Amino acid sequence: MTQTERLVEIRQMLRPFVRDDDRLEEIGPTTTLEALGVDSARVIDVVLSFEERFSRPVTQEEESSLESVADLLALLD
Amino acid sequence: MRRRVVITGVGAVAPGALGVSAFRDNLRHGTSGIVRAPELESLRFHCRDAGLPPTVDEALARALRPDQRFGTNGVMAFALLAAHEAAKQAGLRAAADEETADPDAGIVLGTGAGGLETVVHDVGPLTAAGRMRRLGSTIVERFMPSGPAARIAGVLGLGNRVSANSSACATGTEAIVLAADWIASGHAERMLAGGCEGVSAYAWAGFDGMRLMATPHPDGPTASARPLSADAAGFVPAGGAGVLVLESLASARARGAAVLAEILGGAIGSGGQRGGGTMTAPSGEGVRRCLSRAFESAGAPRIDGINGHLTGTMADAREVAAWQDALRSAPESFPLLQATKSLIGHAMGAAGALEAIACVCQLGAGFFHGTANLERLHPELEHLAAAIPTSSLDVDLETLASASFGFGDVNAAIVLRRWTDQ
Repeated sequence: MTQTERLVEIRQMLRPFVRDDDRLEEIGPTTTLEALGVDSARVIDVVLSFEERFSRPVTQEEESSLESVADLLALLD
Repeated sequence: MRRRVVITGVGAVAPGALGVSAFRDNLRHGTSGIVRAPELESLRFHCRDAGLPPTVDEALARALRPDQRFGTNGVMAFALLAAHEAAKQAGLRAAADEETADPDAGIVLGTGAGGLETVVHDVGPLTAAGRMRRLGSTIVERFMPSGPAARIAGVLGLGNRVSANSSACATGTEAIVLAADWIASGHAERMLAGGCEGVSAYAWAGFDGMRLMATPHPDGPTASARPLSADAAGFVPAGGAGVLVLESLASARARGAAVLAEILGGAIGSGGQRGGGTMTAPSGEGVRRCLSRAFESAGAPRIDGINGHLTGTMADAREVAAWQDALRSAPESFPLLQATKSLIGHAMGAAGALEAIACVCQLGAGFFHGTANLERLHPELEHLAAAIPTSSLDVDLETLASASFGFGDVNAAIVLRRWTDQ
């Protein structure tokens, strides 16, 4: 998967967390989870969605350092 | 002085009906929402039939954004859809798109068993396996009784009271009384009120074990719910949600909202598990007292019709006797009587709300639905045969009373009036 394809996948994964569908296209590597309305209690939902979509387990350490879409993309490297 | 409270919106997810229009049509035409439930068969239940709402996924996807429906379970989906329909009819603002909550609008939405399915399928196994992380952030709201009310409040931006009541099968009616009182006493202008219950074999299993649920009938699932009948053999379990928008008359008029009916009065009570009342059976005196207080609070109007609790157990005849006593009614002047559960089964915490909506539909559309499967009336009720139609009557009724009774010897009753703009 190219980086662009990964970003498209991440956007789709984040769809349930975004209030405006129109804003999905605005999501880029620098978008923070906080800006999407994902507070610390809900980070786990993003992690579970990520694990399910990409079949890639996320460790506790990785989870605690998740702040932005770039961090999610990095997990796919 | 207490303020007048009216109904400006209704929403229903009922057995066999998604939405109030379908629900009303089913009642009018005597169409049953009770079907064979394969899950109950596979689990070797004594009862094999249930009142099951249609699949709600598509309707929910049309009604709500992905973030609004994320992490919802069955009971929450029922409640969200019913609330969405009721709020839309009432013309409540789409507050989710606004930045501020409405401090004059709230919700009392109850449930009997809440998210028991979530506890059984998710909380139990994952906790036992030490995998708490996989429960996700929505797990608590999926089983906490106030979860459906809280989720709806977030969607609609309700900034007043947001709470859940739970009084077993009296829950739905009790929620309406609580919300109406909240408005009448000036605490809020608009309140969503009602009840919701999931489809859960686990919630129904205990009733099946007590042999309180109906056995399969030779004529099929639609014949298994038989309230008021000589051969009633227990209730048919059901799931669903009913939500009403209650509003002060002043608010409805100021907004130009169409009024569907007025809540003349209501009461909540208990028999205190005395005088024959127990955890599982209502006290006749407690029921009579609750009904009498409801009539009194309504200004003792003439009651044209009764939508009874009437589940299809041996308690039906005793309930009718309590209505007679409370109304001090001779058999020849006894109001029309109906059992909605003969068509949809017993949705427990949602039952009272769905039955209140049935009353609103009938007052508005000018009919009184019949009680299904009533080939042979219970012998103790034969003197009231003329008051118990078995098919729909086209009739303009002024007032309908509805009541619900639940485990714990708890009772709730309301009196509704057709709206005539006066």
